Amino acid sequence: MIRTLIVDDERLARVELRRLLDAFPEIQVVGEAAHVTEAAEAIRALNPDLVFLDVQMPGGTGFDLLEKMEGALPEVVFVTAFDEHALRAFEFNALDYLLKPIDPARLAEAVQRAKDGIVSRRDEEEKNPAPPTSKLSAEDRVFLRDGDRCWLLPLREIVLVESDGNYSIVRFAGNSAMLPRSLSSLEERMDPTIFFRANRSQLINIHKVKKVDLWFSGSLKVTMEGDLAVELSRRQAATFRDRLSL
Amino acid sequence: MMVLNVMLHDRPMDEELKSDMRFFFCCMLGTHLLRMFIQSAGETASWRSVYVHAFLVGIPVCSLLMTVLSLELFAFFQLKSVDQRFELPRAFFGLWFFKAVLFGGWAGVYVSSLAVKRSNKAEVSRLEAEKALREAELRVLKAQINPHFLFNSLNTIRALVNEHPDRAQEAVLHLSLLLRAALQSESMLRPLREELGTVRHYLELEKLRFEERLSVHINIPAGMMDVPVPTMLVQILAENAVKHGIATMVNGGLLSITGFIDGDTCSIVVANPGTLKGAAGGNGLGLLNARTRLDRLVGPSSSIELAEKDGIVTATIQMPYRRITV
Repeated sequence: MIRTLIVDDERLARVELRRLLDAFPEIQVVGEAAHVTEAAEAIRALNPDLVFLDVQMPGGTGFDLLEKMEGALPEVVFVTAFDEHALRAFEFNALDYLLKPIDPARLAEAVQRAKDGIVSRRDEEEKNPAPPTSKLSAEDRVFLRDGDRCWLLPLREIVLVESDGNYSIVRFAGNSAMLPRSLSSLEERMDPTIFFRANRSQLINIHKVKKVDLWFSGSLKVTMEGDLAVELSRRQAATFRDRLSL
Repeated sequence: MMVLNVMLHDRPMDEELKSDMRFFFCCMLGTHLLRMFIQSAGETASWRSVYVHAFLVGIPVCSLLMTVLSLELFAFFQLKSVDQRFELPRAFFGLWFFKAVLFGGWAGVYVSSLAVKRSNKAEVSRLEAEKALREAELRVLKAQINPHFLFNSLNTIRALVNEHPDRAQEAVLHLSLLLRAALQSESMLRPLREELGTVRHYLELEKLRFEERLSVHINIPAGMMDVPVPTMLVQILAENAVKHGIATMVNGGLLSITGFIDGDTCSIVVANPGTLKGAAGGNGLGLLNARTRLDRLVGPSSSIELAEKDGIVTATIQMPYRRITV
């Protein structure tokens, strides 16, 4: 069963999508929302697996909603009336979108894709059961935006996160994007077995470490994927050694 | 030419050389003058004006040549008055004529090559201007049939087919009439009455989409109904009011279209809840187009102004008003 939420500011558009989704027995529509705030609440309360998200809504766009979300992101299928530049800007083909009026064949593809995504993530989580906390797992994704480009990035792809005042800069696969959250608040939500606080301003992904060098007086210099160099303070270096040597 | 002269007239080598040097110097000077004058006409000058300039510079050059010729003749007659044996060289005038023709020919070729270059350039810039115009027209057409609105409306109609088939039928009619109006020539004026008809079709469709979020109030004095307005002008303002106003409000609001007559001007005010900042989120192309069309079709005494006060955005069209007396 795929728990599904429909977000659109037009009642008739929601009605229409619900009718089209009737053809898919595995889809269970658990709720509807008419604007960004309502949608954010619904996602928190209902924890859906899949969200059909309108782009243009009063009080913010679908992108604003994704940026706002604190917890793990559900599968997202954007629904829009017009082929928007913003949607084509998505990197890695990470995101599906449907055009209104919705073609049932395209909808079937999108549902299948979402189902595959959900199943593979469930499998992944079964293999590596996440601690029963509110922490995000390696397979959970974050929504990142840098100007016109957008990413839905699994946490495991992140190389490191840098602090920049109240913002954080996320670096991954040769790209970077700004998140409107402080580094400490991000660290709180991330899995400490994957993300390690290297120093005051940097959080690194342990799986993305390429090389470790001894540095001055017991500190360490770590080279990450993409040749990003990170220095570990003496105290953090000791913890890091313990962590890696198990 | 030097060799030719030496052979034909048995003149001493060095004298001929000097004469030819003078001639070539004159040619270079003349060419330089020509170029200067042509450039003074400007880079964008057409090939015709290149010829006109060449002709204008030709007059002083010719008179210069004539002066030199008469000075030479004058000097000859002075010499002859002193010594009767002095004779004009053989083919004196022929040589002058030959030099003048040679220089004229050279200048002609030079100017023509310049003119050809210019005419190519002018052709290219004309084609570019035409292309820009066509693109602008296409943009206007695209802006008039807002794809967002079109596809959202079709989606709404599809939903209505099950829910309220009669309202779906009505919606198709509204949409058809609206599309027909949008496809009409954009350069036309039409009475406000007809324009409002189109606006009503549009707003009916948007009411189906936004339901209780959109309420509409239209109040235009009967005396204004025959005022000619550019096709789709009020329509574009109404569409902006929905797109940047009503659609951005969770609870929607009232869209009002009001007309006033004040002496010899009249105004149409489209008002909606919202902020101007939100309206600037678009590229402003629609409004710019609307202004250009109003200016072209109604005249410079007309205007469109945007204002925001107490959370209400107003777009005001002002136009000259002439009471039609029967």
